Amino acid sequence: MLTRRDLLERCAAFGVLVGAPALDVRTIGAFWEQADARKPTPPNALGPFYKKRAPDARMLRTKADAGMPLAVNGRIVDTRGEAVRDATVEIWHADHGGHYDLAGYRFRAKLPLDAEARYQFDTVMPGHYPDRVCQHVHYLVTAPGHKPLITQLYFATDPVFEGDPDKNFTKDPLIQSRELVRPVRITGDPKEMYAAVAFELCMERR
Amino acid sequence: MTAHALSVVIALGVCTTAAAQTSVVTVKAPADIGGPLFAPKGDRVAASVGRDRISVWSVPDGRLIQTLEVPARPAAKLFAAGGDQLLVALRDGTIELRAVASGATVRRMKADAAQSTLATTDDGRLLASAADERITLWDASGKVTRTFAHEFGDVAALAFSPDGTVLASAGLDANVHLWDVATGQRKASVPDQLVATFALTFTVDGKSLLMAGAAGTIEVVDVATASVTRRLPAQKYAVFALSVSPDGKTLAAACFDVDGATRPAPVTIWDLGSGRLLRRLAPGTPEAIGFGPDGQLRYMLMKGPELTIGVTSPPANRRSGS
Repeated sequence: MLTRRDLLERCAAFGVLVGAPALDVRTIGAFWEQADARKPTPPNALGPFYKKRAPDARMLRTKADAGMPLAVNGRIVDTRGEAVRDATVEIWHADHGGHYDLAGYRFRAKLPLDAEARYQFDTVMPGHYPDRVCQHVHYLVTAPGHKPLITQLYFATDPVFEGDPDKNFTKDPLIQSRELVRPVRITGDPKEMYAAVAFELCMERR
Repeated sequence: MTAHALSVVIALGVCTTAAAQTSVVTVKAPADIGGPLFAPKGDRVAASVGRDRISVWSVPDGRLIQTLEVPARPAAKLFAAGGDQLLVALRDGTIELRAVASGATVRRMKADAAQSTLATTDDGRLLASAADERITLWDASGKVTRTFAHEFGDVAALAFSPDGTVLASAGLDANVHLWDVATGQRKASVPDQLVATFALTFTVDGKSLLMAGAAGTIEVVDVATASVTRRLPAQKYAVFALSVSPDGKTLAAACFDVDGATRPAPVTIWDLGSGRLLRRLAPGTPEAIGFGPDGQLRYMLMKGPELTIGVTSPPANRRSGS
């Protein structure tokens, strides 16, 4: 998807701005900003088990961990589609057995971002926490000049959805938005399967 | 027959063990019960019944005192005026002060969002309420006097000091703040908190704040310096409610299992002077606790339309003479 900046740059490159004197730059910019605005990622409950000072990490999984290996990647953008490079992204989730580590930092991390505000981490598919319906990963994304984004990632493969998340995502009363239920790509052979999910997060300016 | 009359006491009993005597009463309401809480004196309980009622029962006999009608299941409730009034936070942001005896609305305040946490000063002059990360302070006329905020996430607990000069707040952002009510400034934050605190209460003399939460450790904080002066030995459970006995000597902590809050978890009873664990009650999955003026500890269990109220003495503290 093109961003407002992408479009303006392309317009300038093709001379459209120069060749259209009836429209000033501000008008066109406002048009594209409106046309290309992204919706902020829907918020979702923080939950009671956030823990401060999670370590910088991308690899959360060890060989000893039970559960299907899971790789998650995405990008932190604002509502204009621009990378929020100074965002801080913290994630945490239950282990395969549905247990949150409160004493330590297992399956908790502050994720490094690259120059395009992309993140990725390797972990295991979270288990079902006993008092929740669905498997989930918590996100806390903060950045100067932006509203904190607190949300959760859900998985379309969750057995709770019975293969039809469009119809069944409300089986978990905490899921208010279908958008938070992401497709899961599963690869590998039956003995060693891997799950991969893409989850872009869009922040609102203050 | 009205729904009011359908609330009945279905069981009443007393059991005596070597440790303590416990009386238990179970009341059955006409619909599922939610959000039960004790009055400050421990002589009443209130709970939502179904979606549009709140019932108030007396303790320990389980007699139905009143049923109030509300437009929808409230976001929060809190006894006021020593138990004679009930603050009811509605989903549209309205906070109603209702007289228990008549059910009449004494005062109505309007916030911009449903307030999920409530606290009042002992004299009832100030009310604090919280929605999301925002805290609002109201005076006795229902006017907003101050607003405070946590960084992010919901405010999990609020407590006023006994003299009403300090408001303590705990958020799911894992911060615990002390606010100066008179100036509206943050006095201090309790340092080195990594996980969320769910329960706050001041000691009877107001010099210390007791706090506990996801970590399972109960911490004693000096209010003047905001420093942690004592940590009671951690239990394997998280703590969601604290109550101090009227003589200030005994602390009760209601626990929940982090690996599933619907699993049984104990109520632990501590000698505050020595920090010694006096007793572990195992009532099941307690919903609320509270000491009464008689020094006896009340606890509540909830199952569908049934509410069980237990009243038990904490004898070990008396034996210890502390």
